[in-house]
Amino acid sequence: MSAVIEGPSTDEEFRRAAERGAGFFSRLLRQPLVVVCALVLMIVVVGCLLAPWVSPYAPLEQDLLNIYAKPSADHLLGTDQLGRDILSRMLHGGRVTLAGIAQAVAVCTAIGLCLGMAAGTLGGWVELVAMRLCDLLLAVPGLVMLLVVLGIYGNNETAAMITLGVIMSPTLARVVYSATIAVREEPYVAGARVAGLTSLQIMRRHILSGVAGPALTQISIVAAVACLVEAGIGYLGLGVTPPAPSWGNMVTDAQQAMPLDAWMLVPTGGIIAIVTLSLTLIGNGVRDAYMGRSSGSTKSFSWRALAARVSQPLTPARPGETPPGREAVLSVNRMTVSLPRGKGEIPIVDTVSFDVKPGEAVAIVGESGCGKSMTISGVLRVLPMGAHVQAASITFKGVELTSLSERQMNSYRGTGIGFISQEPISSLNPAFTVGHQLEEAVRLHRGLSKHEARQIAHELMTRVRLPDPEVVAKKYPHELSGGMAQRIAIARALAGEPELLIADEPTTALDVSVQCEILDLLRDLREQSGMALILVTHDWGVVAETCDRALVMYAGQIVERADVRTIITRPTHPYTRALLHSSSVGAAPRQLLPVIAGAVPPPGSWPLGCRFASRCGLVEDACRSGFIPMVSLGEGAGARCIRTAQDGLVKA
Amino acid sequence: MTPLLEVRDLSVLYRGRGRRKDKVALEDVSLNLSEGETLGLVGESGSGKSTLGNCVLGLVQPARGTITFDGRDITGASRSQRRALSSQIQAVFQDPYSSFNPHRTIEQSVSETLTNLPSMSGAEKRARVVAMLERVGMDQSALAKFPAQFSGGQRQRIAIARALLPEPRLVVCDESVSALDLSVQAQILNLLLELQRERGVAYLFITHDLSVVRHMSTRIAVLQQGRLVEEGEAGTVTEQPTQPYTRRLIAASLTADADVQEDRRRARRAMARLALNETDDRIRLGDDLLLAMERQAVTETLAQPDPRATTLTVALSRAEAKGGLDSLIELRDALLELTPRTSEGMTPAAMQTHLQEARTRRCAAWSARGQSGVFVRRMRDLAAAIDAGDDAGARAMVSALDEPAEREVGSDGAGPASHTLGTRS
Repeated sequence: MSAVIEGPSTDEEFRRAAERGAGFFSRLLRQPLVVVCALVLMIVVVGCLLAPWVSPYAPLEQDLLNIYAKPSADHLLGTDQLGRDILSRMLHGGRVTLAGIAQAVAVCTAIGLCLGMAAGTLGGWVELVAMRLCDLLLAVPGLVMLLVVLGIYGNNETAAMITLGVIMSPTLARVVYSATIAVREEPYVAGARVAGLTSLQIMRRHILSGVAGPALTQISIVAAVACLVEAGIGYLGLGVTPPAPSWGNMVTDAQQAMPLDAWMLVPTGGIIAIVTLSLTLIGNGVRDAYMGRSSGSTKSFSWRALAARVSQPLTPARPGETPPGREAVLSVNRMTVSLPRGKGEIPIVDTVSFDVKPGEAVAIVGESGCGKSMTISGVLRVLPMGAHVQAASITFKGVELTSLSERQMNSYRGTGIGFISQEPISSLNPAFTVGHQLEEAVRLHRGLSKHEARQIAHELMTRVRLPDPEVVAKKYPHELSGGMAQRIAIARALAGEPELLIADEPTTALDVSVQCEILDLLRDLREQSGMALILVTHDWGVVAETCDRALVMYAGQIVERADVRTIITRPTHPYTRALLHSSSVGAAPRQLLPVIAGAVPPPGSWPLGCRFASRCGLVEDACRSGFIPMVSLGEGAGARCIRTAQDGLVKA
Repeated sequence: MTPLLEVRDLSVLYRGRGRRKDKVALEDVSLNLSEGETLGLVGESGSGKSTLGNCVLGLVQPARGTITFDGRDITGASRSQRRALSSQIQAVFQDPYSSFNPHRTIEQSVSETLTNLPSMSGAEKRARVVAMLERVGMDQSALAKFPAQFSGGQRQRIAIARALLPEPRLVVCDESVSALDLSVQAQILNLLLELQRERGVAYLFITHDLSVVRHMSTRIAVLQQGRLVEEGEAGTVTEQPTQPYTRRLIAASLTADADVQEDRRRARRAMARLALNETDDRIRLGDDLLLAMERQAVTETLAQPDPRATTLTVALSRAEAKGGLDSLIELRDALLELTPRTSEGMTPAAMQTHLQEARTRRCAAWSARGQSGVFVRRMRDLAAAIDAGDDAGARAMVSALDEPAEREVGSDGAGPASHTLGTRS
């Protein structure tokens, strides 16, 4: 049976994954600002609800001897022009306001959510009608509508707030609609359809969870607006009729009393501000939590701390690690790349050393998560935030790259060392024509005039065998096919006449026939210019077609190095062998493939001894007991396996 | 036997919006898939292979044509009819990251495919889900977890469990292993094969990877820009393709053998030079191509698990019986027929003429020198070296096939007219 449970991930991995998947509320609650706002809001709501019991005075109780009083022990927030206790009036008045907010939000949510989700999920005429209805509602002048309703229903707050909810629903409907459309395209929704769920079930199970985040954010804004509008209605004297209190008419009172006593404005306006602000901030928190960020909880950092750091390693060289060759174009000696995690940092690439000779093509092979791409990122010093490169030396044509400043490093990237990535189209700027971007690269690297640059760009496009360079130059990246875009990317990499080209999975995203053309092109270019190549790939076919030498990486280490013919016909390391065998190329059709059980151990949970031990068929106790050195097999070849030295078993 | 799935003259049109033109995604495609079979659907991006899968799943409505499942026309099936079908036709999609709702547990997601089966108790449902998960190599603890807690390979296992849970008769695998690493890919391919053997489920296996499709399929259909280009037994399509497009696809796929790749590249370049240069140096370039392809044929044969020079041996015995210039040409021809890739079927028609000319020219030269016997002996030695698995020897021999021979060593002692191909053991 081939089905094997893949190796357990670390607790760290599990935790992070769980956060991403399900920890919406925990992420929300880890934002201090959100917690504070929620608490404030809760106090206000509870206070207002319990107003008849908790307020120190009746809302209409006058104390004419004590008007315009400042805050005191008797009157915590002072008194108004009739000596009524402001706090008591505020608590009682809040009941009306909060009820209004609740009504508006309920109506708006019901209409917006249903309309948006139905339009987005069902499509067709439902979509058409729902969206036109939204347009219609948006065209209605809200304020006029409110005033009309208040006029008709005799200053009925409830009618006004329900109307407000209706008026605000199209905005929510549109937010929900666009979120629904995004979720609708997700394969899991297609999967649910295939599973035979009804549209209603799909909406409830899949769409709702997908649109909840944006919808909640929008709803919090609706609530904040409703609070302001309710206060506005009161302020105009249209809602609750004085002397009954509302937050709005309290502001009116305060405003009239302003020349005599400005203090009254502070509590009356303040409570509106506090509630509105709390709602808006909670909305922001919901958005952040939904997007997977917990903005409030990040530890303090400076930009300098986030920049990639380069330093010398602390550990001395271990036996079996070859010193850099003199004649190499690029020589990497004991490079470790670490990423920050939690308080410390974990290595992603572990003490990697290799040389690239002039004109040579070197493949870095391995599965995802083994550190192939990070290795070249480390060399180019194009790293994620907070990354740390440690290396005894990284020399390019004899220049020590580790001692260069960021600015000096820039003059090597692109000029001495060219780079092409896996995604040709997204590596180009969509806002400019490809011709323009190519000319820009030429001018940057060679310091030529505009006219000369255009000529060189044209030559480069001819060199990468683009048909009709004149026509292609006027196109934007999205107008090109993947193959054409990759040719442009290669032309751009050649603009600086690099002596080393680094290609990260350059053909993975391309169709097979295009892949073949691109690989041929790379080979021809190398033969013409004597440029060296580092090619990162997981495809043995690409390695065999393009490269002279290969480095096999596993869990951050180089586990085997040899020339391509040897490594493919007589692999030494058990991992290399297993990886080669698990390919379906040339395997007996419809027969089970030999597989490597389990999965690559993630960074941070690498075992002490051989990192492949848990998946290796030849494992013995000695494999797990300590550091496994690279055993030299002569001529720059070697394997990180204790059996290499022990006996001929591995070679067999 | 009526096929399980029958697609007749299917056409799909994607309506353009605004200034964008309508796009024909599929045009008059007809296919059959029998119970328990795997039909591989290959093509490059934009070939319409996924559209076809989506039509079968009812996610895309065709403009014309019919889809029949188990004898019933399901082309315009209503939503409720589709729901009833959902326990029969299932799918495993490409992206293991987005094929699960991140907010729902594995149990919720997996048991979704049981929705339209006759109602069963919660405990029964859970038992089935657990049994299925265990079958794909996941344990019970997965039930309450969320998709993000699993790796890509594990998620694809869960996706397979989900698809096979209602015991469907057809599963559409749309690039199901394309996003996975090589070692994980092998695990998933094995799982799919095992499940097919156990349950007799049929797969519509959609992929752009020729080696994967060759490995998985009983039949293969090749699509190019919405049209069906070629369809047939998997072995026939991949080894004796009849259509230029299929040949191009196969020629472009790579193998992990540096020698083979080098010789293929050499032949490819020789062809490219010939295509560019029609007048100049036709003879020399034609000879180069012939030599390159002969080398490629030998190298490819040697790269087989058990190299045999079958076609060559047959031709040798015939040549010995018959003799004459024609038999020499036949010998050389048999050399290229050693492997599918160098065979006449796979070579572009434009190159055929050059190859034939070069072949005739070379053989005529041998025959004119009266050294046909030497040539035949060289061929016999080459065949022996291939059969013996003597890589270096065979490759050296094929490279030196046309090296001039010492007159006295191989001379037949007769004039150019007579070709005595006697026994020379």
